[in-house]
Amino acid sequence: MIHFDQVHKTYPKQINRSPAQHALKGVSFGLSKGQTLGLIGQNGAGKSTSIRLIMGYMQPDQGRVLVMGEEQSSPRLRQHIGYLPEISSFPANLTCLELLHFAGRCCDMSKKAIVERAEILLQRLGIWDVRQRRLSEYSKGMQQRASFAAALIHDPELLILDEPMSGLDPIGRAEIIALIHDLRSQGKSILFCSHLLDDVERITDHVAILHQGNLLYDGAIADLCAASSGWSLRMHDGSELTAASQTELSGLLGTHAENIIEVRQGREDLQGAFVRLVQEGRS
Amino acid sequence: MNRIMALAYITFLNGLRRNAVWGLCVFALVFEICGVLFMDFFGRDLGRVISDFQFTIMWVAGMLFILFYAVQAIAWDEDHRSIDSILARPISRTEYVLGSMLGLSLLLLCFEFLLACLAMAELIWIKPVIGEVYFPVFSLSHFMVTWLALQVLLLVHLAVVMLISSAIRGAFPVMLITLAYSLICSGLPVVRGSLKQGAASDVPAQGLDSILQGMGMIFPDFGVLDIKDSVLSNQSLEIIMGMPVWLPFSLMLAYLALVLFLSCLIYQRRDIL
Repeated sequence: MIHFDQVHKTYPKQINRSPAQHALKGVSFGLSKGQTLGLIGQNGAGKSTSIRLIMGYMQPDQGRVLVMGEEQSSPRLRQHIGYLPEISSFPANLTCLELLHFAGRCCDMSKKAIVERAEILLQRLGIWDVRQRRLSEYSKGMQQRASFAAALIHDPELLILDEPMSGLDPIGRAEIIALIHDLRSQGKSILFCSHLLDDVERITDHVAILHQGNLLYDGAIADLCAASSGWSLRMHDGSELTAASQTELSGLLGTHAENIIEVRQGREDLQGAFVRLVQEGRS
Repeated sequence: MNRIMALAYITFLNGLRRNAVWGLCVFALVFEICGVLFMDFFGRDLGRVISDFQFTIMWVAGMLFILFYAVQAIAWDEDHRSIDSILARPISRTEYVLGSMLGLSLLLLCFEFLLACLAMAELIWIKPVIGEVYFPVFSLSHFMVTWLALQVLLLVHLAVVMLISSAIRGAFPVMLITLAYSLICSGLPVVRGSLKQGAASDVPAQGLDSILQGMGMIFPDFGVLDIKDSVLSNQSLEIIMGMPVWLPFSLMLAYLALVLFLSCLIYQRRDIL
């Protein structure tokens, strides 16, 4: 669905502003059909740049960005993409229904289909009762839900969700996570970008970790956490020793063989693995 | 076309619900009504004074709409990232430019239509009150053509706003450049006129005139569509304008189309940061 091949992107130097910024430095990753990929990284890591390249808002300086097998996201291709931007902003004086009608009309949906789909989505997202209110009167969380509904109105195959939990309360977050799980089970391909690594871990199996424009990791979360996990050795006297690598573990087993009562392979969570990778990336 | 219409509709609807637009409309309508006060100030040529005043109000209100609403409306999309949400739909950049232009144009035309109705009603009401001597002729058809000419000029300004917005980010620089463009367009024919009068035989001045003539391709002479005087005239528009009526309209519409084409071209090539 999405294929990044050695993509470079530099923001030019601006007068009286920051110098030229190399946002992506030869980044390659992919999202296959039906897969859910978490794109994570610190602020300025290149996540938003990657998403803007996928959406065709900007062109790469080098490399290729393929979306559904086509170079760049052409306008017609966006008929199959549902994009939830990080900042949900629409013409403020429209109502939620008018927004959905606009989104549906752009995707050549009939009026009847828009009305039916809008009702389902707004009911599911809990904003059906406020559908006639102007978006400017919505809270941030409600705007986020309206934006989500607009991204899903045409039942897209590929979903690009940039910080979908932004502005949502815990119940709202749980509802959105449940909705994303439903979409996953329907076979949608999802690119999920978030700072909330707990959510990423709950939603996706695979992650691509960006750091200062470089790709640090692209693969399954399970492999990342297993690879990063060490071993802990429980001793007779109740103390605990840890080994980060297999060599270290062999050494400890050799020297403390008679005192060891248990050897356990620890599992790092995504948060821990991410911090460790970023620190390694810095050094 | 469906996408252009959808975008034009939300642009129009959003503008229609803006208090600032209604405020400007009420402000202009009140000023137009104030035209009646001139009855006590001018004895002669009262019809001309009131007609000129009404068209000036329409022009100023239209320019205020363009500079303070249309410019902001386009800049809003980029500053508040609405453009991300809009272009997330299968809308091309060209469709975005044309849809926004169409929506804003419709809003401007509705607004100007209201002002025109009031102006026309006022002129029709005043004419018999002040009598034949001071207001001998009122031509409704000429009034309509004059209004149309004014709208074409305003739409050219709106297209220029689209062009500048496609190349520059931020409402304030766009507003300043549009204002400068408008001033150059109205000032250039005056400069050329004074140059011709002052130094007809001067060779360097003739060279300068060619440069000014060249500049006239970029900054057209809006004076050709300023036909306010025709409203109070019995003569045909061709005689008043000194050329077939369709010619300046066609030229200005062709210019408008070219400006829009350029805005689409620039918009397609730029990164949306």
